[in-house]
Amino acid sequence: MFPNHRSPLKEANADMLLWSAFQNGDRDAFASIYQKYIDELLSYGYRVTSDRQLIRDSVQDLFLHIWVRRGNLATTDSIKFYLFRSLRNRIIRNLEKHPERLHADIGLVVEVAEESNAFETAIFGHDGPSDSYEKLAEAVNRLSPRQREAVQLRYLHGFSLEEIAEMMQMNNQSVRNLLHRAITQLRLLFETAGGLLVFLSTLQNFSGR
Amino acid sequence: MTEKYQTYTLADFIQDDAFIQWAKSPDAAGDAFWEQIAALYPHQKDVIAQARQTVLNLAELSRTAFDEEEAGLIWAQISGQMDDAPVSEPVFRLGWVRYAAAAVVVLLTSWGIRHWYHEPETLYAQRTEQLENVHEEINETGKEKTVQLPDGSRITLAQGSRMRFSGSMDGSKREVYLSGEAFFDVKRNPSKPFFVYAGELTTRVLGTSFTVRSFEKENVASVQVRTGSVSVEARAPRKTQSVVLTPNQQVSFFRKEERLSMGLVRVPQPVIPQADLARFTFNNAPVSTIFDSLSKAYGIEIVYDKEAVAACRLTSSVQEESLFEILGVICEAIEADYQVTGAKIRISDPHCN
Repeated sequence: MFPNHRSPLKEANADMLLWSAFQNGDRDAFASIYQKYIDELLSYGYRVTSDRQLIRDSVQDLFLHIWVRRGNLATTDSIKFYLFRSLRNRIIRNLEKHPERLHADIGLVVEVAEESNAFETAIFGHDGPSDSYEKLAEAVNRLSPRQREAVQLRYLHGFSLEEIAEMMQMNNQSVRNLLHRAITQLRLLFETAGGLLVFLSTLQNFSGR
Repeated sequence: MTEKYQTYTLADFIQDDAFIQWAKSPDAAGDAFWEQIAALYPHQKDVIAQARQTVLNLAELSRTAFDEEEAGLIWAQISGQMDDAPVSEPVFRLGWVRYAAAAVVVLLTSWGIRHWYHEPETLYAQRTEQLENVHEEINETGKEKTVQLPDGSRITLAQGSRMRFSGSMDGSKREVYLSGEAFFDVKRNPSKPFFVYAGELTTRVLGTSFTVRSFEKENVASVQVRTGSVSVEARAPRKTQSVVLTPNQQVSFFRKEERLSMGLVRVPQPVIPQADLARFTFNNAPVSTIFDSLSKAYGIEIVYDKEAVAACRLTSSVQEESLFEILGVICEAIEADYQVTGAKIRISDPHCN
């Protein structure tokens, strides 16, 4: 039913065991699922909206919903994907019910312009932060909301393009393009100023293994 | 297959699935693979190292900050409501054989009564001591025992169960008292209603088949209707309540609270012939049509917002699935939820494009 998550087999098996225990009404399994994924879910929630109450309501709805409907839910080999997709849908639904909550920072519901002119100033402007990591941070912040969402799903949460496409209700190629544009916008930073700092910290990790 | 990495730029690496996966959660196999690439193409060694760190940087930079207490606060809300949430009756996947078997038995008989009950011995004895010409059946055989009543009805007593009835059964009604667990197959006779006395619950058959279940230790007794209608009266110390049930409805009696609560049976059975249901095919049909057809087929009210579902269309057919499985599939497709509230099914507003 869901695309295979690329998490290692062991992880997928652990997920399936946890999920099936939860489906049989095991409260500890349910609490474990919450504990295991809540930090990532909240980080994602705050990426798509800054409305704290909306996120709280949506997370709460989501977990109560799956608890109540546990017997009817599909078996899943990726709890994480299931939870992320459901949370996103729930946030959108709640937003549609309360349009007054629609903040300018939401790139979810309406397709927004992906190109960001502000980016050029981030790199070439004179008043930007001097530290290169901060520069990268600022540039990431200047990505469009949808780009930032896709970047977080890809690099922080480790979802595949296919999974991101399903979550964001886009086709695979659009997600690929969205991320590609984001990377292109950021690339100068990786390859120039950012490179050195990045390189130093990596040498230990990479060659030290 | 590794040749493409020879000309990869940093941007290429950080968009490569295998690379991202290794950068985020390195394992021995990944280490070996990427070290091999770096050995094959020495000019890429630094690029790989930079790309790896860039993936980690992007992960960190795209992380959103939130209050650390948030997770705990939300959990407190969730766990506080877990027991209150109206539970949509789960489909018990492993139990279907048993329900299917039960349904077949019920379908084959014009009346079927399934009756499990653990009545307090004292109440059972007290009620039946005035009976004339009393017959008692006690099953201590270790297996089920079938008893034929004078009116032609058949009752299958479970191990450890007992029942009493007046031997002649020539009054204006047929009455059975039960302590334990039993399956009833009652012969239809509209001029002589059939009564089952089970603790506080009295079930009167109006022309139907139904199930009575009661597990004393669970504090809940229930009556479930298969076809037709049934009236149930709950007589408790503080109050007496009654309710009339139609197909697929269920009433639960909470002994301590003396509360009657309406709901739906776990596995609703169609009120139209199974063969007719199996012919249900929806081809790009409005979801409202599907809901209305299901509502008729199961005799269950399905509540939804007409405007909200207006844009939803589905292609689907019904095979072996239970009602809740069908609804689960539909709701999955239109991104809505269903919930059993009382004896109705409510569909939340869908999300159709």
